[in-house]
Amino acid sequence: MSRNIKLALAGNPNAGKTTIFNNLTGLRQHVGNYAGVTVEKKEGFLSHRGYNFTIVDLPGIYGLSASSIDEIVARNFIVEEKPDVVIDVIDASNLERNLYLAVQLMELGAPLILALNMADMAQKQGLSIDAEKLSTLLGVPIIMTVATRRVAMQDILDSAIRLIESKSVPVRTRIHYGREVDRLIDRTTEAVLKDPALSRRYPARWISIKLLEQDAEVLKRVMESPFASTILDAVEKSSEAIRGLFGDDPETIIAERRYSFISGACEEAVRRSFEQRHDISDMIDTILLNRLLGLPIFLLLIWLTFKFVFYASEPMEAAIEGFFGLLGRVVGGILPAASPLRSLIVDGVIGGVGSVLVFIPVIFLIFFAMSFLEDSGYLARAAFLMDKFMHKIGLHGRSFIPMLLGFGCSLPAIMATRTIDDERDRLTTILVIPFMSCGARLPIYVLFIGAFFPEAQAGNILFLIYLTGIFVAVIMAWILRRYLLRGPAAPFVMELPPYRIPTLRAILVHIWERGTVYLKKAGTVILAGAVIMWFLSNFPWYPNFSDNRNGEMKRMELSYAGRIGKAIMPVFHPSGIHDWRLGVGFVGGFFAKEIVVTTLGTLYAAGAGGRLRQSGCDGWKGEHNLSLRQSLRNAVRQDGTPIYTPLIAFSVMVFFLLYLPCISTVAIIRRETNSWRWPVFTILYTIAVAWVASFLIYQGGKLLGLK
Amino acid sequence: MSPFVGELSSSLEDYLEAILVLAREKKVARVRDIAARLGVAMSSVDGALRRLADENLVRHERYEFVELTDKGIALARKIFDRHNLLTHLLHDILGVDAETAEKDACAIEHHVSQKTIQSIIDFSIQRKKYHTLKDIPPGKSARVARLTSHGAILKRMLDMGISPGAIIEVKRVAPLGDPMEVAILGYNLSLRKSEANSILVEPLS
Repeated sequence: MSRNIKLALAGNPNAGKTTIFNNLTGLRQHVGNYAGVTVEKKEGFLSHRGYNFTIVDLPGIYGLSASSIDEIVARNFIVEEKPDVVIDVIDASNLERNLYLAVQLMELGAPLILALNMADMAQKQGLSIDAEKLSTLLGVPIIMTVATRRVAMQDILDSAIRLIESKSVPVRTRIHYGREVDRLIDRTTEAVLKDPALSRRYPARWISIKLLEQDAEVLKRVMESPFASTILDAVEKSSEAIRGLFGDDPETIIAERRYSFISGACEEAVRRSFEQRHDISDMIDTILLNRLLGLPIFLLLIWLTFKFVFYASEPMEAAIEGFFGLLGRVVGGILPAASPLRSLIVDGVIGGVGSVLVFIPVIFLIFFAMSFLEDSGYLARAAFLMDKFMHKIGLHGRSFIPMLLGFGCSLPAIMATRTIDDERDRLTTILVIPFMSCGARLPIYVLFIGAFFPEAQAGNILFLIYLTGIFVAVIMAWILRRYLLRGPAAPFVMELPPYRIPTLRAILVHIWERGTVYLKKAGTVILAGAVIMWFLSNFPWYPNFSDNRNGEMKRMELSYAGRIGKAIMPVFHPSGIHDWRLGVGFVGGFFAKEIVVTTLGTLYAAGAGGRLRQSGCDGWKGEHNLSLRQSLRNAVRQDGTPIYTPLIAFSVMVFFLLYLPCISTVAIIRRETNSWRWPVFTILYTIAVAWVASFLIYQGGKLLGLK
Repeated sequence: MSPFVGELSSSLEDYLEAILVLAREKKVARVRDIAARLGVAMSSVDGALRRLADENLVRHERYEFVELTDKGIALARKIFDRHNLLTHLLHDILGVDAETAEKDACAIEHHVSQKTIQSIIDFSIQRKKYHTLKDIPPGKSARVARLTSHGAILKRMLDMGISPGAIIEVKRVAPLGDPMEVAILGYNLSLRKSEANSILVEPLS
């Protein structure tokens, strides 16, 4: 007979909670979301000594107040899902602050075990912890672990089983807040106990402490009680009494007393054999956060990371594309020529799967780099260095790196926003990342700049395009944060964890996690998008067009995509754009920016096919699209005036820069915001922004006498 | 109800204050030290302690050591704080010499109203004489006196260990001039200057 144990892992960020989770469950994990919020829920499964364990990795938190969504999620999980055991993973080298959460978990009445992790680090710092004594003082079982070396991992499971099998209820130490405060808490508790429904869900004393701490969530619950006014009266009286007695708010007094309880316990159970004044971490920081060197080193490191990721992923992407191209040709050779079935399988399905998988190298590599930066402790420093600038536009220092990653590819950039704690900051960052010009848009600029600007100016124009993107991102972030996602700036009270050497295992698990999330959640949407795009550009089906250049051009012109392109063109006339083929390009660009140049090539019958990814375009003199450039330059309207001028070309490029992120980005926004609201919003608002920007550029340019 | 400031006789308030200071300086307060500090006979100390124990302000069980109760700590701290505040007003702001300021503060502290005290606090905050964490230069430490923020930011600070009495060392300021890095409870924390500005501190030398 096997029994089930639901075990929750709680703890401060950086205490080693996730390492323990990964050690215990390996890759038997499932990543989902908590209902209704974007907080990620990680579950893992294993059996041990005849028990089936479900292990839940709760979000990393510092306390149990309702000041962040993570804290609410963790707290509700413990109260509502009633896990059989809660393991609080504690950084033993940072005992006092970590115990603050433990003390609150004790008060919540959770079936608690403390895992004092990083016991080796504590020892190195000269701390010797008497676990048995601490356990007696707190009334909670304690085990010592070293997660990075997988020490005592089985002990965690054993101790959980012991806790469940033991018949006796452990005598939990009650935290005393001093005689006066205790008396006032008791008085409030009496009022809370009047409503049995309330005290069945949460411990009554815990409710009264939370009410005195002005906890908004608990207050909301209490307001629904029929005894609300009695309870709130008691709270008000007690709060007043505490203020009168101590001259400070109850929440401050309560926190102060918890810390003094903790420091009392530590004084008895912890001996410090020597004081380590300046550890290695501090020495590294004197260089990396140096007033003069800090920023240059940061920019250099980020630049190197960027180069590494995009150069290393390039050949892998080429290989994947090559493989699917080959597969398409082989399969295409078997199937009857010029049939819709062949086209569906080769262009729709094989091409679609290829377009999902082509992102895998860049996602893996970016998350390799990101988890290296995060696990080493440098990511928090990056936020520290950039916060002043980001705060000016209403964001948090942590938004900087995801936005920067947007220059490579919006997809992993948006996935990287998980490191931003505040919900509004995170959403704002997600919504402006598409304005950072990604690598796939570069070939479009290369085409138009090459066709309409002298070579000497090419670099400047390209730079101007990128600057426009940054400028719009900054403006939109400011507007969104000020009007749509209004709210107080998230506090920057943030831990700068000691530097650590990341373990390869942790990094690999992280990459695996992100990779599977991408494939499962976004991959399906992208694949569906690929098939839809295939349908739009091939139907209605005209069997009598041959597979040569002219045939392809005609087929696309008469397809739904071609018709949409023509239909939407009048909208672009105010921006100076009069080329229906470009309309088809806009439609194609929603699928993937990579295919814009190919589509234009087909429609101009210039045969500019082939790969034109970031470094696939070989500079301004590239031969790939010389004939297409020529065609664009020669294109004329019915009255004989040229379709494109440098001004119009610039307006076109800005539109491509800002409008509609590709469908993969939309899919990942759907996944990361856990709703359809934000992806739909992104589609609409980016089109609006792009149209306004290209309109202003064209009309403004004309007024200034530019051509 | 417990006695509030002003309800005890001035000499008993002096005793409370002395016990608190001794407990801070030497970990324990002994009858002998109290007598020496206040310049009175040990027998007078005994009498005063008995009266304080009656009010439930001190515990004086083990023959020589004296311990403040929670109530006693709260009251003593209030008295002590107003003493410091008055000395600070007289010496630092009005420029009275240290010795006179100390003596006069002792005389005034038992008679001044809570309202006046509040005004002095407000005044000194305005004068920037009451330091905030923002004013502490890198390399220096300070003890947290009071948190003036509210809501989520206050909760976050308390979660991170910033509570009255905690000792904070300022480590550095970011290259762009904001935020700053501090050490507290043996770990490093960063916070914006606007947040540091809401933490009132007493600088430590």
